[in-house]
Amino acid sequence: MSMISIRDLNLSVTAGKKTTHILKDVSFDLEAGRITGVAGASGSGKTQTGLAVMGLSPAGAELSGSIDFDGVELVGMPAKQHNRLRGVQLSMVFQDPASAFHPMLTVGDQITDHLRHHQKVSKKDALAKAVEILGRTRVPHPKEAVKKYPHQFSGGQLQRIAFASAIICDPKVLIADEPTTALDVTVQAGILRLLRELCDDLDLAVLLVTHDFGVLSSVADTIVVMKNGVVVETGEREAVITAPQHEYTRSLIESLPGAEVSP
Amino acid sequence: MTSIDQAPAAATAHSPAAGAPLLELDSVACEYKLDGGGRFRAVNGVSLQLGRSEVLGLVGESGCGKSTLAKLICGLEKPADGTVTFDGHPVRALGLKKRAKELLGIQMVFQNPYASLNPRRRIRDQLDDALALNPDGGWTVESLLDAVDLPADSAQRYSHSFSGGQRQRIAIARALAAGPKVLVGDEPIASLDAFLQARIARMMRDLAIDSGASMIFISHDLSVVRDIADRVAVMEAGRIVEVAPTDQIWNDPQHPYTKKLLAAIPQVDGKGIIPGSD
Repeated sequence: MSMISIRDLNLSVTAGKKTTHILKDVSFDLEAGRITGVAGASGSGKTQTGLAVMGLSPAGAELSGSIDFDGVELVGMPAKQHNRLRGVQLSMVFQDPASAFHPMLTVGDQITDHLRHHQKVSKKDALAKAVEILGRTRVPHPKEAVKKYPHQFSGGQLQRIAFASAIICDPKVLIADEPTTALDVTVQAGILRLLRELCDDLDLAVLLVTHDFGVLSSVADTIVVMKNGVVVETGEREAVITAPQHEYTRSLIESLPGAEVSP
Repeated sequence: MTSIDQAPAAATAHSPAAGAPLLELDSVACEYKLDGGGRFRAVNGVSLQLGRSEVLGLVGESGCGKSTLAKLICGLEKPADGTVTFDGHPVRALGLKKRAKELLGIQMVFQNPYASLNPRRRIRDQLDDALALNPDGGWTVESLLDAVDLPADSAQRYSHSFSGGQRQRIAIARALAAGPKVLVGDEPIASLDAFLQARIARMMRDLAIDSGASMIFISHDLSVVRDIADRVAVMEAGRIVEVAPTDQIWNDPQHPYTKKLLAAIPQVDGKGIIPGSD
């Protein structure tokens, strides 16, 4: 049973008289305890797919098709109802950790904000939980960290804090949009390890959006390749990377420096 | 492309000593003042040579001093110690002065093409400015645009109507137009789509080498550097820890930091192995 099942998802945005189709009949599943990687060039609609699940599609966007979340239909769900899921059962980590945080609030305040909003917990309990979660995502000295401000952390540590913020309400689905793109390779490896661990331990259904096949090859279980809003290939990690079926997937992998695709 | 025949001739015409490296850094250091007193050595005792028609890759993690080194080479930063020599001429901090004529052979392509192009001038005007520095280079606006794979009608447009990759190609064309002997690329591909990165990097290499120039290519992406560089310098915390031909860095790294960097690159093999030991 899939945690999220996306079927024939269409997304179009109308600006003035011009309508742009961003997603065309996108279908794939997210399973609990598995990382589904979505690959594609910029503008392929991979981020918009993630945002559609979160109910964060741009203003003026028209969604059709179906996103089934554990028996609940997300397409066409009233905003108020979606708000109750977002940050609680559906959570997200963004590309740039530096811009994901408010610069003038402490980390502790920011990662407990949604916890306190959605679940009636006292400030003290929320902070205790924050310290626990920060330890879980291996932020050094969690007790001191909750009192610090975002600029006092490095990019890799901030991304760990963003993951802490995402899992603090025990979500079922985690959408990670290019979580390592802004980081150095040595830091990237640590974040990928954390993502794998969280997925396995918390039985999360993870949607990992990235353009980096190296990242997909390391952590993804299933790979979905998108081009211009269309899913061109879906398959198991090893099969997609070593024996891509679609011409486009093949060209993406071949365009990587130093990459060789076995014929 | 007419320029290819002419540019190498220009490069060798007035070189003081044929055997000397084109660009030489001799124990260069650069310091920044920190808030509340202290000083931070961003670049510390770096010695490097760049030969003619050579592509040198400079890699390292963020904050290791790669960009500061690029700024030192271009005279945008004042060295606290040591000297930078380009083609027999010392490179001094530019300040607010006009760049000396003999140093115009150093041209830079910056990381962010959104910031490095003038949004209020047509592409033709921006390329013309660079062409005026090197009227004998044999380039025209049209041949430059053709060289970087952009349609000829791009000349009439403004930078906002181009995508990031196209803008970076315009920035490369502009740097080429000035007839560089050293092209310095400071993370020129970092802001581009992954599938474009390798292509633009190869394009930079080909254009630089074909026009007889050398290139310093700064990147944190080792796999791209491997693709285009003849030699690679690895930088850590302001120091160069290892310089060697690209193959040697890749197959037989000597310094532990180089080994660590290489080990952290995820392999595209579909095996599901997360790199590194941390």
